[in-house]
Amino acid sequence: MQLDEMLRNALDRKAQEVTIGSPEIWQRIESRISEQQKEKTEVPFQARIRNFFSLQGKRKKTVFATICSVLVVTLLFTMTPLQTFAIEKLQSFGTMMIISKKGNGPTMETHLAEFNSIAEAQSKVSFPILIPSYLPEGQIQHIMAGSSENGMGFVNISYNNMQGEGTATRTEGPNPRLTLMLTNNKEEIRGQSITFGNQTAYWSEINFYYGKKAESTNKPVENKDELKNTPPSGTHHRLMWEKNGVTYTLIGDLNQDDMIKVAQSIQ
Amino acid sequence: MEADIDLIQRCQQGDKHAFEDLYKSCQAKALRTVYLITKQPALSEEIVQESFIQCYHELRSLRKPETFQTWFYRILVRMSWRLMKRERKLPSIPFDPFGGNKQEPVAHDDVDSIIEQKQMNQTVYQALDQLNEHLRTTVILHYFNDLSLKEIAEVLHCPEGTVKSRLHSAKKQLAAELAKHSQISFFNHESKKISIQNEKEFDVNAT
Repeated sequence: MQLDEMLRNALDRKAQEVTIGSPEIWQRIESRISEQQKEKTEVPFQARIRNFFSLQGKRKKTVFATICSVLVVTLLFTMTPLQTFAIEKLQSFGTMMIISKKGNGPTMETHLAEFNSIAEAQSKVSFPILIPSYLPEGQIQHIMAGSSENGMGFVNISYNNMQGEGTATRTEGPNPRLTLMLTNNKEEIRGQSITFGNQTAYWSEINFYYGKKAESTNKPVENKDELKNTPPSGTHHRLMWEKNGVTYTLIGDLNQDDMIKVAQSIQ
Repeated sequence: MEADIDLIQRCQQGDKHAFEDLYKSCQAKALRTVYLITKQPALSEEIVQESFIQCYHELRSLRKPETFQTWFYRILVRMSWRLMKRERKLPSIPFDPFGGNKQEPVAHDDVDSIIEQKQMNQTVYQALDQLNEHLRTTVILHYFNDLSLKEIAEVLHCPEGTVKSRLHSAKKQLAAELAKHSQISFFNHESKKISIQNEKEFDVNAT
């Protein structure tokens, strides 16, 4: 006799020992199911919480995974470095147009939103947004505006020429042209004093650098120590002046005459 | 344990009468399987009871009613192992060579052969008793429940190769135990033959 057959016979014989057909088992099953269904409809809130922590197997894993996901997302959007990272990622998908920008003051943090028109941006700040009527050439590419909780407003209007994609402050593309910034925050004004009309303004040059990181991220190098022995990647001009409590800043690659003409046309 | 698909679908819709029918059609095989695994009649009833309650609550999550058999065996086996662990004891029930409760009358000429058969069953079952929980369950599912290797793999949630390996190992141990317990040279011969045969099968499966 083969072992297989012997096993089958022995198991069949052994299995016959148990008594089958006891009605008590089904009665117990039925009453337990009824009790559980009744309990389910009457479970108080505290018991639900208790049950939540005594979940078994797959359900426990699912609940645990959900809680972890919620925690991670919450952390992502509450911790500043992670928040910045998350916002940058979302921006890269084109789902969020809000960026975070820190001002000079220690408490000023302004969230800038992108707008399609000056009129829309005006609703975000308390001071009037005045724009130049004269531009050598080019068009508005970006308008961003926002205000902090303490009432400090910030407007950033970027222009580019007809061919280029870049702007003066973002400088990630070719042909950077001009950026106008307006803020009612007290900005430090430095540079060579010049006058146009009755207005005193300050002219200065700004070197900008692109390190190895900047080639891939399109961001200026932030660590100043790296710049000590590095020749600047380019030079821009800056014209700053203050009028009616608003600081105007023009940054771009225009020469002084063109920059002053633009400034004079801001009414 | 072949259950009607229509019956299972009715159970999934919450039909209690259908569930009672399902219980009636499956309980005998379920109870016997659990008894073979646990070797304790009272505990077997408790396991079957708990398994059917779990089955009632989770049946709606079963996407393919045709896989009910393996799905239910999985509940049954896991429940058996869990409650056996809780009991923390596995008393071996002495095998009654003269059978269970019901003795059928037999012809006088058959008595010798019946006693011989029962002694053999006793020896085989004692050898089976020496196997560990996983090996014994695999042997029971294969030889008592007639599940294929693939089905056992689904029940035990392990690769098919593991099931093959467990069966091979179990048969090898059983053959050795039988050879040890029996003075009959038949077993030695059979053990050797089975061992060689299993090794060949295992090699073929492994390749």
